[in-house]
Amino acid sequence: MQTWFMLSAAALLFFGVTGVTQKLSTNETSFEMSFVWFCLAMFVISAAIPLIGHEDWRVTWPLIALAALGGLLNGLGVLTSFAALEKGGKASIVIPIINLYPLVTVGAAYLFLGEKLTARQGLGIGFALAAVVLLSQETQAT
Amino acid sequence: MPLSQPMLLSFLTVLLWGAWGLQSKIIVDRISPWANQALFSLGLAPLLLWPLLSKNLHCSRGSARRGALYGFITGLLGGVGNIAMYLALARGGKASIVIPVVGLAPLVTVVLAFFVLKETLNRVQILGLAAAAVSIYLLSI
Repeated sequence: MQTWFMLSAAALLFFGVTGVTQKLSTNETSFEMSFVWFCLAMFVISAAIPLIGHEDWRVTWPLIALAALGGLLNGLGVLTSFAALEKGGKASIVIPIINLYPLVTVGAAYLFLGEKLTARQGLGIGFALAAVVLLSQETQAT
Repeated sequence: MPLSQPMLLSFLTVLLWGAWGLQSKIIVDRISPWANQALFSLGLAPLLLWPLLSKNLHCSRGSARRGALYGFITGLLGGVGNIAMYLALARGGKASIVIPVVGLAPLVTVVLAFFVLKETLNRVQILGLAAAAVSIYLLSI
């Protein structure tokens, strides 16, 4: 198995656990407070990286803006997903739709980066999208 | 027929996170995954205004301290997950494969929720687990 796939699987694992910790957090406090603490943790990581690493920090302002755009897109997505639920969207509809976001990346990567997929990879992505829609169906608490 | 507000917000989320996937691939060729994660928070900072100005900020359902702790842990895990994803993209992973694999995170959430939160798995979700397994196999070989 290739290194990049192992790293993707690690990311999958970490993000998957956040699904539970996020739920545990919002079971106790407001989404807003949970988001504040989420951001504080991100700031701690940001502060820690320069202390422990030997990164090349000679970056240009456009590159800083491009990196910050990642946080903005991700964070805005968190807020709009919450707002969709808060405005009365059913979780059984909103969450499966939201989990289809890789479809946009796949299309954009084809259009803008020229990434091409083999038939097997295309089938794998199809199964992945089907899986997240099926997995997003609400469970009933016991 | 016009889309309802929740549906519009859902599609907006899809676009935002989908664009984040593309942006992640574009930037890892220009900056290290670690430096990228360090700068990621700059984009989060202005968004803090929204919760901080919300009247719901201090509405607790249980232990506010425990909620804060879990929120903080979510951020730490999310940050480490981001770094792993950026490293995957930097080490040759295509955005069109890495992002769908990472997007399978509900697989882990559903399984953990079964064990930790004692949530039940319905038949549709079990089908989803099987589809996720097939997907991971197809994308890993």
